[in-house]
Amino acid sequence: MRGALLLLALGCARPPASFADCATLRDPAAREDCRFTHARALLDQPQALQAALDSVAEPESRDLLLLRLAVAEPTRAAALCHQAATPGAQEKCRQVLGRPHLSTSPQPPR
Amino acid sequence: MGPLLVLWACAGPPAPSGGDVATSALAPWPSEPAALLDRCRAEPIAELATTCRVQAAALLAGQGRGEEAGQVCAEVPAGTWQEECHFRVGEELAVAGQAAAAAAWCGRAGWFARRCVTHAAWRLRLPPGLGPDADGEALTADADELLATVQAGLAHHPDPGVAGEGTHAFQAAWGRAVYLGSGRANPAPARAAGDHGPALRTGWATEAVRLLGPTPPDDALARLQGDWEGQVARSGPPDPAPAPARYAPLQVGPQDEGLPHLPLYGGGMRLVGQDADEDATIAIVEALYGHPAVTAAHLSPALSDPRPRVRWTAARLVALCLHQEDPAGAPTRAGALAAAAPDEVTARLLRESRPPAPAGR
Repeated sequence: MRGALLLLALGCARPPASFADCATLRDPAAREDCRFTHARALLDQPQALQAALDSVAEPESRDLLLLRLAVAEPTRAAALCHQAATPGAQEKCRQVLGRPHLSTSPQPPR
Repeated sequence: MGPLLVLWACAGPPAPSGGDVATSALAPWPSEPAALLDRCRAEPIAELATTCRVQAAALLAGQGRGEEAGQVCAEVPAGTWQEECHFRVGEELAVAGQAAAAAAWCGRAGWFARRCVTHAAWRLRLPPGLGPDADGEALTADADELLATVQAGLAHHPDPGVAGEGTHAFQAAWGRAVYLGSGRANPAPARAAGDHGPALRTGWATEAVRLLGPTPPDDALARLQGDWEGQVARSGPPDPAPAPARYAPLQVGPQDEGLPHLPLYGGGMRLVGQDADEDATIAIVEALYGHPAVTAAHLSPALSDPRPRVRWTAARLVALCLHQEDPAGAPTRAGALAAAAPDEVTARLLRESRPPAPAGR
């Protein structure tokens, strides 16, 4: 029984191992953070990232994820914000997309 | 038993919807800086807390509250977004009439500094009372003070080119701001000025062209040259927000090497003449191109001007007009003008016709 309790504690404390596992988290804020963390790690895998985004059922959650990724990685903001569907996300995306220099990489001094 | 217990405890009932968290995060922000800042500080999502603070800092700077804006930027994590915050503060302070502070914040905008200082410069507002009929010494003193503070604000930027480029942009923007929209194209300050002369001549010419109205006469170039030579102050209705003009793209060739240039609104540059009269003609030709109704025919007389810098300026802009007027026929028309050109540079520039830049910045 003590072993089972230890296993229980370890099992619940372990963070979700994949984007899909984030859905098992009961705290909505923790679930959003979990999705963001896993999605950010998928930025260089476009198909996997798209699949992850498409798996989020709630439009607001999906758009929040897109927005957070765009802010964290402004050089990729155009592709991410382009998918935002809700007015709130579109409006906040403009803060990134309306500043084209944010999507460029640093240049050496002239 | 153990694995079953884990499965039961961790999976539990279906997870509640995350919609509330997201809906709250995506809700519109207040437009009043203090309310927005409260919202930013309560925002649990780090990325939104960052962009929220940038927005709050910009709002504060737009009200001329640069110090408070800077304090908000200090709450943004160092890196891209803090530099963007400084950029926004620099831009907004320029609009609020605080050019020196604007330049100082641009100097802290990292590698965005060049863009920041350009944006800030062209948003410059002059102190009340300074305009085309102001005392020449007062104008010169204002420009000298402005450029000294801009230079000081940018002096510590790690890219040594930022201070020079930024000061040059502010000087050009200052000259434009003296005249544009005033309803008074008085050439007197532009004739008397020393170091600030080219900037003032561009300002004078831009306002004089605006005052030509929606349909410039065929001899617009000659009329404006007459205004300059006869020291005629053209007048008309002021316009605090003149409509966007047409901008020539930045186009630099071998003929430009070693010659002085002046930045222009819209991102281009113009040659500076060897004396005030030559420079005024170049400024007129450039300003005429900015009028959307001006055609190649308006500018063509300058192709035979005895001064090479005037001809080269005209050739570049005539080529742009030709392309805009008739893209298919432009090479033929340009070729005919090039055959009659008095020098090879003028001929080459005419043949290098390219699509004009779209209006707006």
